[in-house]
Amino acid sequence: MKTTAPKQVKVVNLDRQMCAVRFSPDGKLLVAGGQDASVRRLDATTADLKALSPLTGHSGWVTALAFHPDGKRLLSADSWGRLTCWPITEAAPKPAWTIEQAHDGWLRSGAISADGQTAATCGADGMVRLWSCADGKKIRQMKDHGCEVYSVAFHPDGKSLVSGDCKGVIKQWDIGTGKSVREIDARSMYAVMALQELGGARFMTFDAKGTALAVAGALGAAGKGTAGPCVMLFDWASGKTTHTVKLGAPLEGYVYDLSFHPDGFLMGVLSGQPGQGKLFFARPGEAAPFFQTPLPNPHGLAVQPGFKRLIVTATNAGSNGNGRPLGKNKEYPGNFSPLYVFDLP
Amino acid sequence: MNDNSCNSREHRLSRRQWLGGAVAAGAAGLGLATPAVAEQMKKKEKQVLFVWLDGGISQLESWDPKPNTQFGGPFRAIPTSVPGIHVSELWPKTAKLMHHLALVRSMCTKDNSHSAGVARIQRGDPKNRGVTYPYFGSAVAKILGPTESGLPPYVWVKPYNGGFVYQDAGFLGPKYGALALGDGKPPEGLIRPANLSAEDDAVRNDLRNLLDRRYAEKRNKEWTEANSFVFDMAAQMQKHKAIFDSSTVPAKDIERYGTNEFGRHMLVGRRLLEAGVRFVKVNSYHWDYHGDNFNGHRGAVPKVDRAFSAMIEDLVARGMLDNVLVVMMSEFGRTPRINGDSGRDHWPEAWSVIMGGGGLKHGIAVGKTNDTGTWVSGDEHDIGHLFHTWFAALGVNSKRVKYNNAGQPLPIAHDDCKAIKELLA
Repeated sequence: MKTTAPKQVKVVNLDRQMCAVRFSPDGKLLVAGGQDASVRRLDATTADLKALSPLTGHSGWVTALAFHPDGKRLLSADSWGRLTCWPITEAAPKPAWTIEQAHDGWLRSGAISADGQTAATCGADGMVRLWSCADGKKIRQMKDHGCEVYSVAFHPDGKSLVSGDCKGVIKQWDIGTGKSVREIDARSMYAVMALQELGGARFMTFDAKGTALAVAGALGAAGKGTAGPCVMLFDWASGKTTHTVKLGAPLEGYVYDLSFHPDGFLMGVLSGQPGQGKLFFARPGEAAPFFQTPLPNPHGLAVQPGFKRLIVTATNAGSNGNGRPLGKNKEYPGNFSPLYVFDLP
Repeated sequence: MNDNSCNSREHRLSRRQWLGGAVAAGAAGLGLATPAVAEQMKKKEKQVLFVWLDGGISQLESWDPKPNTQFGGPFRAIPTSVPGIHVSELWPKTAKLMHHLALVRSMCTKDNSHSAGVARIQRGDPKNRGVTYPYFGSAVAKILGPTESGLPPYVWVKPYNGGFVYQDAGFLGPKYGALALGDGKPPEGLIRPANLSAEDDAVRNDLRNLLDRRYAEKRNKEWTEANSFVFDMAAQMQKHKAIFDSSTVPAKDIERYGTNEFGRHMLVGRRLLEAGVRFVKVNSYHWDYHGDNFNGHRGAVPKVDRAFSAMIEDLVARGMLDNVLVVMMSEFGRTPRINGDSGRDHWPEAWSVIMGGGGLKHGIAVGKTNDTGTWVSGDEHDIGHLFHTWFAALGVNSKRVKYNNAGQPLPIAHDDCKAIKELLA
């Protein structure tokens, strides 16, 4: 297998911190969900990622973004529980539909089925919900987790959904009935330290064939915190762990976003202490990533269809510090997100 | 105190004190508040519950939310039982009790480091006079002494190890240190072994007292007093050992407070207050979310919300809140700026404290920050202001009462600060 090292070609700064970033199915539009409650639209066909008018109306943070397979609709969700469908190809999109309280509070993750019929969301209220992409009508809800649900992903076969919670429990659901099919155990990605509960299934994705499920986060160390970022890989047929890809030391935090490359390796970003983090490419079963490059606190990874370009949303350097660090004009500074653009050979 | 006098508990406590303690012990043992007990509680002296969240809880994720602003974070604000006062959505139970509580949103303190912050805040950050000031618990123990219960005046319920923490007392001397109950458990050896009769125990104590007096003759008075004090307080606590008998706690209470570490410790704290301990400190560690601040608060705050609200409910139900000053606070707040690790760093510039109970107005929020929560708007309040306010709430005139440090009069709170009048009932 050839080594596929990306080359950084550009950095474009956005003026606020971003939580998530995604390419449209045609690769021409990039969207980023911000801590300023906006969805930024960027023209990915331009060299400097020309900013288009942002989508507004959300509250808190825009935490989840999912393009419809038809490329004409975008779902966005926020930390106050709102879910909105946008006709994203229009010049100035207005919501096609909005569910103000799709979840009670933080909507953590959203996904759309491969056939484009169904959207899935999960949230801090412990619920997993299915929605009609056509009109936003709620189809059903599943409430078996009993704790906060961090991530959802549709299986490529269109029949199953997985949801992962803050304790590392992965549940498989039958989309047609809403019945729980089985549990997959990623509890080693959870730890308790005093009142703190650490870890959980921060992000999940399947490979294109649906034979492997990847769960991103960090290993837990009971009583101590986390033991380093990792990706746990599960054989979908058996539900058993095939690999635990360890990606760093305890203070290097969590793997926040992840994608499978067609060649079988994982592309992901991890972020830990301020200033720390990296983009990594790792092959399951190998002791270390075959490519990694440091980036300051990346949280989102957008993979352009065709696998020719990656965009990572990170954080400006010097983002932290106790006390009162003031700017040049003695203003209180906020942080922002540089977008790192990488081309793949 | 005369060095040669008998330092036994019996000689130091009046019959009235004994009876007071017995009544309170009965209430603690039952874990219930009958009308008679409630009436007795109403007569009790001023007490303090000091909840210390070691590190810094975020003011933006607690008492001063700024939703939908640059630094507001992902959470919503929710209304409280007091119209116009909103708090973070992470505190739904406490929000319903805000009419019993008071907020200060204008804290501006001096230290942003842990190494100095804990002591600096808990000692009230007085002017430097070349002495080590006492922690608030030790100050109250010195100024108000034990209640009628005769129980140790300063008890600290904390995770990990216990012991006698003399360091808290500073120049007051080790006697005013904290009796620390590690994991809320009684001091080791508190409970008299079953195979040791009361008579044999008394003989043993007499022998110990005799040896103590001989030992004390040629040694520093402060230390030998403290040594004797610890034994006397231990003896008094034996009378109240029901505090530690969880079998007498209704299951409903255990559920209400939560079975986690903090919930268990707050429940012990309630029983200590019911028994008559003057100053109870309950400690929670690891409030230092430089990373993953929002998931961190989301996981930990509900446990504190649950236990804290249960405590307030119980103090109200028992008629105790009028006499118990309640404070919950940290070393500092957390930066408005959200760092790359989704964390907030140390921020003493503009933060909040929640308090309530005896001597304070309730249902108010004093002070405010600007729209983005970066700075205090209007009057800033340092920890010295809170010390003056708390002493006033306890009936102590902090401008007149002085410590006597070997003949040196020392103010009990920062000379340049004063009580926050809006807070005082």
